[in-house]
Amino acid sequence: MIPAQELGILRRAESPPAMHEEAQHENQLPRGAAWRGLGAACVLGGLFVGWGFGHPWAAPAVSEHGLQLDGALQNLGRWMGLALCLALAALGFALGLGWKPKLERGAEWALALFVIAMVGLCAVQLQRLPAPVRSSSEAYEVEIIGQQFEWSVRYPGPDGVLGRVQAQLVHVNRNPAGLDAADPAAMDDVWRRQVLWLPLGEPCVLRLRSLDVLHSFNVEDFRIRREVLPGYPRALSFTPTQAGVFEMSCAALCGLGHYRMSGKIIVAPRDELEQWLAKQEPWL
Amino acid sequence: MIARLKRVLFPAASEGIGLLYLGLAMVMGVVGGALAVLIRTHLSSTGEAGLLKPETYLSVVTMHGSIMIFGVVMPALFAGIAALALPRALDRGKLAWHGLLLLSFWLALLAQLVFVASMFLEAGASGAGWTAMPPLSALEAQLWDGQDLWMIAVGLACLAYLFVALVVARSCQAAGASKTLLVHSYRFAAWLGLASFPVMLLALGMLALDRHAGASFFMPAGIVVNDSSLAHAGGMPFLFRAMFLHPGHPSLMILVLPALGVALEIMEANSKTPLFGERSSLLAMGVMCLASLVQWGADLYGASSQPYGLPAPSFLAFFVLAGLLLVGANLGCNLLRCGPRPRLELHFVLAMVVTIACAVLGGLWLAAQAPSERMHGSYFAVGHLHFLFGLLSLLAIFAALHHWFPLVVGRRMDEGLGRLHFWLTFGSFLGVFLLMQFQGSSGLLRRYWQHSQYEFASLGQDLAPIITGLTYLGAGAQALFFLNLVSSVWLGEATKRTETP
Repeated sequence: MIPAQELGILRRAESPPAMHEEAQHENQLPRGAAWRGLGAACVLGGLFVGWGFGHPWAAPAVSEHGLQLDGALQNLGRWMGLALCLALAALGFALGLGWKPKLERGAEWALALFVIAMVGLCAVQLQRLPAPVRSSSEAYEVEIIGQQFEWSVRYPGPDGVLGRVQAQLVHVNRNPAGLDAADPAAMDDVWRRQVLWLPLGEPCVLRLRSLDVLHSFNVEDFRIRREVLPGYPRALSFTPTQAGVFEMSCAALCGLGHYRMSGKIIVAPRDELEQWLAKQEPWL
Repeated sequence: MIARLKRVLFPAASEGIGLLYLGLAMVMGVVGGALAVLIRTHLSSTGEAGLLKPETYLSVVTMHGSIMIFGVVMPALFAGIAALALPRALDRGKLAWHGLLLLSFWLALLAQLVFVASMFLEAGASGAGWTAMPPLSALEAQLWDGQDLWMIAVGLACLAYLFVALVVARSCQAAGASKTLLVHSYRFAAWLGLASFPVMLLALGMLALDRHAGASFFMPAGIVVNDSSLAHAGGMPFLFRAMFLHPGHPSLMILVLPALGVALEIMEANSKTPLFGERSSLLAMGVMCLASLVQWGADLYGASSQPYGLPAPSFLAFFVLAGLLLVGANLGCNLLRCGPRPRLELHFVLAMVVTIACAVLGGLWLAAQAPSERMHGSYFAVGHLHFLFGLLSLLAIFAALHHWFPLVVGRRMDEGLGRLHFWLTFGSFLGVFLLMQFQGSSGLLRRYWQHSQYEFASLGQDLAPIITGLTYLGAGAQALFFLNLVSSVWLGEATKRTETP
């Protein structure tokens, strides 16, 4: 019995239809042309991939590390695409011209070493790319507070020091940031929704914290994205290089309003920033 | 009649359980694919509100991911093909512990029923993403009883596949000394399953305690929701990430290693000479297995989720990528030997080689620290993960079904229809996920109900209609496969050999 009958899927009393020899496939394409065609297709594919990984899909970066990162990634993408194309082209055309590769034991380990070397080379280059770096102590410091479903910003007031916060003190109207009135440094802190002012060309430190669930502070133009946890504040440093208005968003699923945690970032020279800050009222 | 039903539903042979799993996977594949089409339709729908409400959209996204992983690829590739092909590969009549394998199928089926049932709840299914990160998933007030059902379903599925891993590991161990690469790949996958599924069950249990018993495994002090401070204290949210990634990465290898094993087996069955790169492929798969077991630590640091500012030892991900690329290169070298009119399964293997190349390329970006911070949470990650354990495993499943169809039915599936299905499937899904990676490079973020509020990812948003069109094409092409499958049972070309040679 054929297996299907054994398993009870097909029940036929009669014997299976007569077996016949495998049909002889006609060689419709000569072998060489097939390989050359495949090689050409792979070359086009490699070009497309190289173009895609090297193409600047996002608006130009406006932070120091972002410019370096973009440049390095695009170069790497283009070189990888080019290398892939050349390798596949060489392979396809060599095979098309009748080269028969001798695939034996030595070639196996040579290929293995080659692959490991390629991945290792890419890995080393990629690991050297700049991430948002730790900044000096004179960096401009603000606190970003994430909550469902908006970002808010706490600026240190004229004393230049961010005051202490406690989560238990958070109240939506009276004390949205949870500032501790017992701390004198907290008395002059300014709290604003969804608007972040940053000084142009100066290193900035963002202190990130969340009031409820996991968020991720994301500014595509600065090329920064950092997860924001409740209970574990963390810092993110970078330097904006261009004045303008940019968008902030949330990049970690935080609930129903995840898509609308937007905000505005204004990068301006330091004196304009100080002027704006002087006009804001502290929370008390 | 009853006896026949009993023989099908409680089969005496391992192959029968394999067919049950494959049938389950096909049904859930229709469900998961329909959800994907729904997602793309919503994202391309014009107008203020879009097709779905925000909570519905998040539920659809969550269910698509969960069902595809736990209800399509795992049953088909890890359980189904194992039960179907391993008995012959191991030269034994049945896999070990037949009753346990049968129980695992019924648990897996129950898990899928719970998934589907959760979609009919009034408050909707879980909307926390298939990764279900706390504190969001631990907030009982916010999340939807669908979250509890989701946890039950995932728990049942993990239990089922844990049993499958036990059966496969035991069967492979008891077999003789000489094992094919297929057997090795399933053995590695089974070990990974044994190491990872219990941790997943533990994490789900701890999450359940956080949700309902006031425990604080993952909830730190000071969480304020709806203007009231929650009573939890002392937990760490990134502990769940660690506990999820510890089984998470091996689970991905459970989806990838059998796919590679199937490809290698198909190459071996289709060539007269010994397989090129047998030893290096075995080494590569072993390295992938080991590296994925410890990758959770690297990923924890690398994904910027730890607050201590430590540098990321993400080189472990590079080991996995190197191993994957090596197996792909070996497969490619073996393909060089095939004739000008290769069989259909070899088309799928070639497509898998291309998919491996794309997965490795994207994976390099996501493994290194600096680019990964930019890419996680965007469509780049979505495209990459679909390449790695969506498209690769899907191609392997199709190839395996073509390859082992004669074993079950004694006939071959139709080549012409199969070729058409292959080109439509591979072409469209390759385009979909490559374009998604480009979307991610433009900054388009995932799990967003709408992107229209932001301007920064406009180039990526322009690509969305193309992706949607290709998705429709790819999803529709699967009808061809079902047509081929069903019609070949009665109309296929009969063959004496039990595997297409």
